[in-house]
Amino acid sequence: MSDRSLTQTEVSLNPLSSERVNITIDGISLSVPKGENVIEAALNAGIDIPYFCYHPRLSKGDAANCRMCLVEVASTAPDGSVRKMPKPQTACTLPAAEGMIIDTNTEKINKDRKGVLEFLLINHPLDCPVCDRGGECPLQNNTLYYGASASRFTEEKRHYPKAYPLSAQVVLDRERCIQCARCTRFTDDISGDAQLGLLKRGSDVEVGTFAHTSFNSKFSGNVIELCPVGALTSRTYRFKSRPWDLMTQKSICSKCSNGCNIKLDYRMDEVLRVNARLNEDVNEEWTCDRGKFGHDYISSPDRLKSPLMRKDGKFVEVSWHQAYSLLADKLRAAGTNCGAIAGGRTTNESVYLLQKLFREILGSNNLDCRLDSNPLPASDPLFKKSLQTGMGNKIADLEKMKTIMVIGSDLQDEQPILFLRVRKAWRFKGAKVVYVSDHLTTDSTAVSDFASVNLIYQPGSEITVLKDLENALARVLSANTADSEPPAQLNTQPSEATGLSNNDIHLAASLLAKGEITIIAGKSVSQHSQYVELYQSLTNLLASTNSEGNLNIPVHECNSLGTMDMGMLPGSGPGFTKCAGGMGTAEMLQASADGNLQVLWVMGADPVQNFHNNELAVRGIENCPFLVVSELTLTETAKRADLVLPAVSIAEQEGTFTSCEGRVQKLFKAFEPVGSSKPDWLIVAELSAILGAKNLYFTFNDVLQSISKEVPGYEKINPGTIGDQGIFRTVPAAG
Amino acid sequence: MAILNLLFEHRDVEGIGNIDVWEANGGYEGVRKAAALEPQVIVDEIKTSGLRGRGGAGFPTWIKWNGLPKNYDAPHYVLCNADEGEPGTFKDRELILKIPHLLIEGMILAGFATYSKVGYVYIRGEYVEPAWQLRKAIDQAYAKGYLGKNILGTGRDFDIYIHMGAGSYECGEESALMSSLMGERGNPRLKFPHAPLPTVAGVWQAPTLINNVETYCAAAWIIKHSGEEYAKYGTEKSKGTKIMSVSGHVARTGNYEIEMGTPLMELLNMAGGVKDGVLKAVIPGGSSVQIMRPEQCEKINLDYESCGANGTLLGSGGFMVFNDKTDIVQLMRRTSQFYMHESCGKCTPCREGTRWLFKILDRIASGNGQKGDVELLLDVCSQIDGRSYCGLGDAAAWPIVGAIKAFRSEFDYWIEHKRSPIGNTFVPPVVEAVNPVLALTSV
Amino acid sequence: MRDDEPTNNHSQISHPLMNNPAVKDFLTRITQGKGKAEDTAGSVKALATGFSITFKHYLEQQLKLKPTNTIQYPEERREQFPRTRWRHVLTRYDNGLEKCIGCSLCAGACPARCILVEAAENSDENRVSPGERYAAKYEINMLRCIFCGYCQDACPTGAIVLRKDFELASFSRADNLYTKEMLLEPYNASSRVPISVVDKQ
Repeated sequence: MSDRSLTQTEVSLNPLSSERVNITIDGISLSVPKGENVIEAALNAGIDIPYFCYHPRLSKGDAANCRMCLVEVASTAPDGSVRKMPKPQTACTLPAAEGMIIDTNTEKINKDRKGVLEFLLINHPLDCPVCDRGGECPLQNNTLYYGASASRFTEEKRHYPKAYPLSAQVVLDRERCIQCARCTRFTDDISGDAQLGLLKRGSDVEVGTFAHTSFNSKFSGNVIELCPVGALTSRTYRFKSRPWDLMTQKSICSKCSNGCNIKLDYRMDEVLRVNARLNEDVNEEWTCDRGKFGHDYISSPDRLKSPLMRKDGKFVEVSWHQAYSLLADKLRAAGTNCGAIAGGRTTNESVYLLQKLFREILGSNNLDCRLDSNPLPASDPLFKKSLQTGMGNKIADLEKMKTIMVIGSDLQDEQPILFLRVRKAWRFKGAKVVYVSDHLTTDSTAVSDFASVNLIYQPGSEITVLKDLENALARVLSANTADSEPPAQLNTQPSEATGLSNNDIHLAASLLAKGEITIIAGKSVSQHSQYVELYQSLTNLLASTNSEGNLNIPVHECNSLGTMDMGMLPGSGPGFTKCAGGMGTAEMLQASADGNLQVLWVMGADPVQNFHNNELAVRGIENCPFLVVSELTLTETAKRADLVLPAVSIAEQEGTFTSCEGRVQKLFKAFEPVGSSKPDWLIVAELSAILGAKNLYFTFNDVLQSISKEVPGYEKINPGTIGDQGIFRTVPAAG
Repeated sequence: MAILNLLFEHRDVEGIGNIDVWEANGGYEGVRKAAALEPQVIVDEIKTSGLRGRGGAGFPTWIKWNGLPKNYDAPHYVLCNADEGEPGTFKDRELILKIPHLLIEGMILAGFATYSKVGYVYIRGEYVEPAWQLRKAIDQAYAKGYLGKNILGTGRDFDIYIHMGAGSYECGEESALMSSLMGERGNPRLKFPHAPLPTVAGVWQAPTLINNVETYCAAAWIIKHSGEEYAKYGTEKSKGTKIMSVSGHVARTGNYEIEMGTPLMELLNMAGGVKDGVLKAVIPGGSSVQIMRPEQCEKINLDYESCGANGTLLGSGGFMVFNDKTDIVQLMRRTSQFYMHESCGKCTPCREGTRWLFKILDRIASGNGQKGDVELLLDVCSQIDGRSYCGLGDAAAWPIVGAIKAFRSEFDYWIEHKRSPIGNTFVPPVVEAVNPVLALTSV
Repeated sequence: MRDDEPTNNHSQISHPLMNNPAVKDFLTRITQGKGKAEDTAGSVKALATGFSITFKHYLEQQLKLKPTNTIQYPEERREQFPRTRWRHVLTRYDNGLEKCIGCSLCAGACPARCILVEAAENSDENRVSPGERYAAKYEINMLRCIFCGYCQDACPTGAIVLRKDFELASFSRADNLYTKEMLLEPYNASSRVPISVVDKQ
């Protein structure tokens, strides 16, 4: 870890000054914020300045090394005389000042651009035909527009062995590298692991890791997109396709609840790579490695292609007609004695229709979507108030906070995009971070690396720690007023109960006392057996600093929040409406184990693998009289099913996901479903029709419109408004 | 105008490195004097003296000293650039080795003047002996109370730390020096107007004063005597003295402290004239500046204006003399090899350009030059000069442009006849650190 | 059937020649079965005159007395023009490595979108082409190809060339999907010289 990744605040990335200055670029008079980079002012005004190393999200301190954005600059003195700077200046680092006159398209500048490109290409291997970047390469494009047609370099080029594996995912070609340092700056500025650095000097400079260790960053995939040449390539996409052979479709990442906007690049119905799609309010332009490299399941050969029915202990492929007939018969026979479990990766539309089928047609209220241990029943008002509503802040608002407290969460793992936002708030916006956890991770990057105070307590003492923190905060706050009680004696002696000294607690409390705080709580809070006490302490902390509502307990699967909103909970209908109670996951599994549940439908979930009580899950699933599973592949649960219905992945269907911050975003269909598989909502819609539903649904839009009409909080969401950046659902008053 | 030993006044006193001997010769008088002065008075004294930076650029020293915040609220730093890497320059080495207390005195004064409490001497890694000498001197100064807390009862504190470089020429560039001092890669940083001046945000984003060793030494002399006395010497715009490191084909090499404005030929005569032949060329200010033909040398006085007017620079005072047995092409080949090796690799023109320049010069100097190579050299130089991130790119391009301007015929001779015009056929072998593994099989 | 079209009725012959009374007489006579012996003799003479021209040309050709424009295809084949663009060939280097690096530029340049390339990475154990990348799959749909030669223009290594083999007919559509194995120049390891498909005649 270099010191550079641990420094805070870059002026150029903070909100621009409200003072405006007048500058002239290529004869066009502009009024821009004082201190704005000239390149940004020019690009905003539609004037093209070529660049390689500049990136708006990376600190400019280490930029200006490619020298591609050179411009001629003159300044106007107050008396009106114009003085030209003798040397051309880099537009990417030059702050705009009053009276600046900039020329980007003079003969001299054009010659400089040619010169820089000639220099960049003398040691570039020019193996564009075999390069993965060929066709979408800034170096190619700029050479085409600004470069010379031939090189005068007749000497031997610099050579290195090709394809050096930086990690299991990222491959480095040092010959192609133009040493722009975007990747190294990314690991310093954004991901924070500082694993990439420049080695050697002069023309031997190369990108590498310390002592050839593996580049095991959790965000390593982003450097592939950042690289302006083909030096950093993806192991999985390597040589798979050329850009002109690819088709692209907008989508939403299904790997966690953050709802990253992504692009699926596919060819011949096979997803070849995943790139980030710009959404300033969610993921900006980043992805985590799970999202970037974890979508190979979409084109897995194990995908189910037709319905499977168990006959004499073995699966046989059957037609949809046979599958529907059997399932309809079983459901009719079961009456209300049936239940459904939907996982957090099914779309809102599927879950909405599923609960409609069970509640309105079958008359069963046995519905649940929760597989992890839950401290509260779904009908508890506190559950509705805290766990079911999602985050108190929007992701984009986290960076506006002065102090961020992260408790009980390995944030870089659980909520990678929230982690990046917290780190951005700390590094570029001057926020302070308090980290509360019972352990430190060995991950390459973590909140504890940059937290001002790390409270690492003895496992099990979290309630005491929070109580101590509450008291310390009260003391700090009262110390600011006149009638303050004398401050407690501070020492660094760790207490026996918590392992923390009261000095540590005091430091954390004095950071929180500054106000404008937000708290992000992880799994170990939301699944804690004494959740109520923890929740109370956290809300007290927020209340005493006038930051009520800034409690964020993010859910974990891509549509956990949506499934709950759609009413996939016992005793909670769509949009938090009240309805008759039923069995939850655990009760259904127990009933099924006892043979009291005739039909259990598991949609997009794998209780055998993921239910917190594995023994109960196996017993319930194996003893179920009739188990129907709709899934992509034969999961452990599906292997034990009586009927398996092939569902489709995010690339093959339209649908909506509700992210952890309550943003409803749309999946776009890239290609046709594999085999005869069908989207979950269509399976449910067709079965409902067979079972005599009154409302029929034929398209995704039908279902979304129905949701818009019938689910409180989703009124504003319909096919016309959702767009490709999503819109927020509202949280109805807890009912 | 001739030799004028101001800084070198006590150079040859026996045991002058010892603080007792130093004090007996009037040492630390300036510090005692300054202890009673307001900081602004010290700055004004420097302003009166007209002292300009001795590291090469010749920036007026008092402006830097005046630019730091005038209070002790937040930390400031005083940095001494002792990373003397310019080929042909060795004045700082002698100053530190022989009279280290003069530097310490200068830094203490700078500390007083700029409200700083901490000074760093960034000394190049190869200067082990001078560093030890300085270490001893600093320890002695601490023992006598010239350093540390409450210096001479003034209530002011000042500490000096020594930081050894790791062998990079680039770290003599002030912003790269600051990066290196902070433990980062020795890369240059953004400069004004792209970023604040070091006097506003330097090391650790704190206001920083950075000067050359000779500048601090001169400042110590000025405070001990007076600014007016210093301003008596030298020319109108270049006051005082300059230490010239004379090397090359002269009878007596070494450091000569001369008054500013001394004619170049006079210095040459003082050094005993050209050895083994007649004068062919002089590089007056270190390898980065343009080479001068004898007829140009006649016209040059050693001060900032005269050098500038004749198309060269006084630079850091690396005065190199070449006799008529010197092959200028070989000289430039070796020079460009130095800059290729020392480029930090941050910016494109310097990283790629220095290597290309060396490759072309190496080709010419090994008898493989082609017609048009000289024009190519000039063009590549023009693409580096003024386009690079810091001054190293300029420094790599200037000498080659200068050499082609002054000795074009020798380049043409090499290209046409494939041998040296001097008759010296020895070409030192070049070891280049390039991995020879080829990935593509030959087609 | 159009009104003005003659019907197949012998008694109603309608032809411009029928305006000639001699012809009309003659034809009427023989169609009515009243032909004479002289009528036939004239026909034989006419036939013999005609066929003698044919026979004369036949002899001239067989005896090579005159230059000829037609050739005996498929036994004989014409020489193709030097820049004829017909069937594609994937060529090799002299050491047997394939020139194709799987860059897909041909597919990008193809106006008919008839080329499919899928690339893979070379390893030291399985080296197909020089460098890092080779074409694992290379297919041309010859039914779509318009033989414009843009693929040859785009190819950075000169791997895909259009040569002179024009016999591309086949009995099924599937046979027109040319795979890499079909397109690749055969390589005879012992001769160290690539055998060109062009020179097979």
